[in-house]
Amino acid sequence: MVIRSVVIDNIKNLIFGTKEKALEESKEANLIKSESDIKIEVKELNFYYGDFKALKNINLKVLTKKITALIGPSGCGKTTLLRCFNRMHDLYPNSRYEGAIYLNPYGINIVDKNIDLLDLRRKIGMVFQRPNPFPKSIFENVAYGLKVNGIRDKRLIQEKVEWALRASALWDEVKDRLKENAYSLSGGQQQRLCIARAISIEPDVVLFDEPTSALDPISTAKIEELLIQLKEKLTIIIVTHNMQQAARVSDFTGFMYLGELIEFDKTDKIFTVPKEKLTEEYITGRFG
Amino acid sequence: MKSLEKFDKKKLKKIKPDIIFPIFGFFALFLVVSFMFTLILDVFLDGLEKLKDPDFYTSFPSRFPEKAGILSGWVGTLLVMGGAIFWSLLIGIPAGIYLEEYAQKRGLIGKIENIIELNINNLAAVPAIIYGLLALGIFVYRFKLGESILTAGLTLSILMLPVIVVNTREAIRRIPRDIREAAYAVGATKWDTIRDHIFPYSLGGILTGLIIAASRAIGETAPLITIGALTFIAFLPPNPITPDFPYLSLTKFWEVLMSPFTVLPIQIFNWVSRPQADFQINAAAAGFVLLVLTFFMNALAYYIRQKVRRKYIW
Repeated sequence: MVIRSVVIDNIKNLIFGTKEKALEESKEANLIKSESDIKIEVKELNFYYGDFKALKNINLKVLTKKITALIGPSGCGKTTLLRCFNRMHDLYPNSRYEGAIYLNPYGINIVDKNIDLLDLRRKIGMVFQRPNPFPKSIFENVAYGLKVNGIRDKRLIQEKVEWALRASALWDEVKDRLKENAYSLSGGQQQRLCIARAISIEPDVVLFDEPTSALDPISTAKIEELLIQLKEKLTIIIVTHNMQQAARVSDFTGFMYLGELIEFDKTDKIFTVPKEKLTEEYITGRFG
Repeated sequence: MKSLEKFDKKKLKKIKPDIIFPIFGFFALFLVVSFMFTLILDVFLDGLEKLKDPDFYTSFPSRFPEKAGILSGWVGTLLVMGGAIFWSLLIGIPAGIYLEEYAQKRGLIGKIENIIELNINNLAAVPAIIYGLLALGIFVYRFKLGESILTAGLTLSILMLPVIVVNTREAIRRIPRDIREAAYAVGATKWDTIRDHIFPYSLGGILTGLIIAASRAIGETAPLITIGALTFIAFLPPNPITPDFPYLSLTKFWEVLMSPFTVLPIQIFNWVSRPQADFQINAAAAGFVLLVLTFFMNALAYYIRQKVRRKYIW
């Protein structure tokens, strides 16, 4: 019976395939739009390094407590886009934004010149490509964000540090050596420490810039598992070179090429039925 | 087969410099090292008689070579260097941090900053005696600080400043971008980042630069003679430390700063210019003490560099 129905389905697909697909698509599109919890909305964003236009007319919606992945070949602008969300570009001269990135529910425009960057970076944390703990103790690494944000109560700091280390699945490995230098940890542990540092101040969103590209497969698997756990509390945007990683962990995927967002959709759709030819070519490994 | 022979000959020709250069290089190195060892050994042997005499370190200079000592010399050197280190750090570190972290390469201010930046290395190459003349004009005549320990400290600090600024900047530049970004990413301000990261992580490099600058300044004679250091001092500055709280008498401390002084190199210069042969022994012994002080400082610089390197492996 089952086999028969599958066969029938396949035949149906052959005949009505395109029509049904279109119907599904519109459903999906509606789903995205109707979700009231859009965390970040990028509208007509252009970004310039001096005269070079690195991002071209980006439009994108990031949903709350979902993982959004950005993929694309090297130099396509995915890291540049990611670093717009916490205004990391502002540390260096000659960067310029056009357009808007709205952060909900605060209703602020992230790329507005007059915005309070410290407040923004408290709401949107970041984990970098290479593990970059401070050359201080494990405890101090996690406590640093709390301290610079004005928390002086030692007991509260201790509680938060423990919470952050537990949430980054590192507590059991480091609880007896919190005073040791963070550089004594392995690469994977260091990266989880950086995640703990990022989440210790309870941001709404955490940006991950190729967080596993410097790690071995086992550490990578741990981080990926962690990402899925963190999704319950946070909105995550991850840039990755690794398409399997995007497919494994993300709910939504954006494919970028030469500074443009070519396609943005649910991850399973991007990887099974991409609309754009470029996306398909990249995913099937024909370039990149 | 013919072409192969040609090839071999060429190769033989090439081997020659490979033999000649290392031989030349080895002798060059040998020359440098032997100069240094001859100097040290010569000074040591000449001054051995005095170096063994504990009174040499606790006596004031004297007309009689056998009674003369370096007490006022080494106390003066320590006080002047203390002042020089204090002032050069106080001014040099903020200047270096400013140039690296705050200076913008744009507009009129940016242009002025660029000119300053380019000229800091030139400042390090200015002959020391020029700094002496500058200090004589500014500190002695203009600010009326007198021919004092304070003036001497300030003078040597000007000499040390360029080296400290350059080393501060280099130490800051060695800190990876990631580390700064990590601090900013958790909401740290620029000042937080400088205070908690940039400054502590670059401190090793800054201290290394300080000690290199100080070990050069400790041997300087010309600028201190220019500002009027004495060659014969038979008393020490007052002791500013008191047994009771607050353990430091400010008036006495000011007296220390304003007292006349001599330093080891000037003491050596004075003795060398005496006709009596016995004073030459004193000069050699004092020279050896100065060498030991310099070596000690260089060893400290090396130690700090190694220690910091092990702590911050980027």
